[in-house]
Amino acid sequence: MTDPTIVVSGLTKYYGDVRGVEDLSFAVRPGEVFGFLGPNGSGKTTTIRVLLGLTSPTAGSATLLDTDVTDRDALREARRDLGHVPGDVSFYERTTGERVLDYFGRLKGERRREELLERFPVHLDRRVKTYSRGNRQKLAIVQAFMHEPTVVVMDEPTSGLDPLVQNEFYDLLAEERDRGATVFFSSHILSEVRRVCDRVAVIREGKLVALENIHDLLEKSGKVVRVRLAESPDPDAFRFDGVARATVDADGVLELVVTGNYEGLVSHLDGREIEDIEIRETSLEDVFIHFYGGGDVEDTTDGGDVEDTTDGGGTETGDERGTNTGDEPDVDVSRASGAGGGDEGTGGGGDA
Amino acid sequence: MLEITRFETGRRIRGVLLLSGALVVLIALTMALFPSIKQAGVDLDAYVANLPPEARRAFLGNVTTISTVEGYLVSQLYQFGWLLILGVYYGYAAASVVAREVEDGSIELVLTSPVSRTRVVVGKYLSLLPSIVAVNALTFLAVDAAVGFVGERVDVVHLLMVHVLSVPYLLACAGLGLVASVVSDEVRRAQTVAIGAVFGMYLVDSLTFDTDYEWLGNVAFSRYFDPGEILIDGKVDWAGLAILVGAAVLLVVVAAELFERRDL
Repeated sequence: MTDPTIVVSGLTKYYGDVRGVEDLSFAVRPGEVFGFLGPNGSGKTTTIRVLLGLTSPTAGSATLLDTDVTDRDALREARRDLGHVPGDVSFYERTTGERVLDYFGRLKGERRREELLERFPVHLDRRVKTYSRGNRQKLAIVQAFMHEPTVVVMDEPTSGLDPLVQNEFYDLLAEERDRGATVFFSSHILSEVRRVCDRVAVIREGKLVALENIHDLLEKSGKVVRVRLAESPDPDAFRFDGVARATVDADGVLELVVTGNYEGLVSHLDGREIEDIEIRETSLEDVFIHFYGGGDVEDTTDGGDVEDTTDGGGTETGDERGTNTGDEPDVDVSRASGAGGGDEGTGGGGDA
Repeated sequence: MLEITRFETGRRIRGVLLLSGALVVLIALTMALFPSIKQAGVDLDAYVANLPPEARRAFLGNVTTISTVEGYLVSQLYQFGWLLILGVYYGYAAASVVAREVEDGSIELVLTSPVSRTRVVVGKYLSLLPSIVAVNALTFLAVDAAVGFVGERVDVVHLLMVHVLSVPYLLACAGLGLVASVVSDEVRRAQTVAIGAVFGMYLVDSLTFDTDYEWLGNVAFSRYFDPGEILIDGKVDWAGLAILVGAAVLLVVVAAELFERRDL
């Protein structure tokens, strides 16, 4: 099978005037673990609901296992090979876990039920009402995988799981991929995306802003350089070619995202008194903040339109940061969330 | 289809037992009063005859005397307890089936299984049938026993027919609730609409009975199920029965189609 397992093309969904997603296009290949990244309200859940046939697109199309998601009879058949973990897991509260699994087992199969229950144990004889968040999530995972689906669509599947269970779950995803299953899941936990995903799509305000192999994405994003200088630096002085972002945080530490031109970096630091310096790989967090920092992503991914990402920053803001925004650990994030937050507000409820 | 019905039926057992228990208590209390009502017979019938026609229709149906055990049962139990209370109850119960799960999100896992929405709607609706049958079976036995206990007799076949023929009436009321359930995001709203619809039909029937506007009451399901006629004369309104069955089927089809087309 070489056809993509999931194809989303020009997908647009509005709830009345409220934007869910807009002109979204991507494809998920068979046998890959695909991460769908974005903050709350960015349209992740909307996309998943369209893919599952729960809601219909306003425009554009989507297919799941070569089936148009608006073809209700064909999609019903395709769902035999689908596993799903909803974002807000909700079962029949007054029913025991055992009966819940019996029910879904009859609806779609349960060949691997016992094996999965050994890995994700829950109190089957108790009513779901008494379950903790993590136990509900485990029950959801067992029901999603117990019929050996070829594609699994999950909406933030690790929320509520403790770290040990999370690890078990990541192992399961790796095994599923090896078995040939396709895994599509949304997340805003970057470490898990980095750990388990082959490729990642990043959406912001309902639009796709990046679609990349995760290693390429990190590589392109360069390195983070944190420098503590004896004198409080002006970040504008560090906006040279190859610097994607230059900020000063609340502690007066200069933080640069550098995507090449290391000579430039050295020459700009030359002559200054350096108290401390740290150079590290970009984390997905950095990339993420980058995407939501107000810049155009097409520019930032290929290494650095300084104007865009720092637009409006200026010395003034830099000075104020030290005093006014002390409660914010990373000034650039606060600015980013300010810019992004306002926009998100207009699209609020997109995940509803 | 039956997996859903089976699962939902299992979840209803507790409710059925509670409802039946409450009705059995009502039956026991009602029948315990009958000996003294019977003694007061003529006076009470005079009182009944002087009731406004709307109230008489609402509480007595077609019955003219409450000093016979049949008249008493119809006026004190079936007219009010079955046509109104159980009608409202099953409208309410059906209103909850889909809307509650849409509201709390538990429908999502069912709808992402390889089942059609029609199957979900019909499966859930059918789970009300065992409940209706069980409640009627238990209350039939209770009425029969209670009548015997106070030293009276009713035609057992007629009594059984009242309970059997109430099933299509209650299914039609449930159909109404089901339609409310599939179009609503909030279970409260669906329940309110269902209760209002069943109660409203009952009122329209009562208020227009024997007036120039009697035709208005033809929309009411209660016009097609007359416990008094069945219990006293053993007369079955076959056309009415067909209308109730037809209405129930139509409402379920409408509900299924509305749910199929709905964005969730």
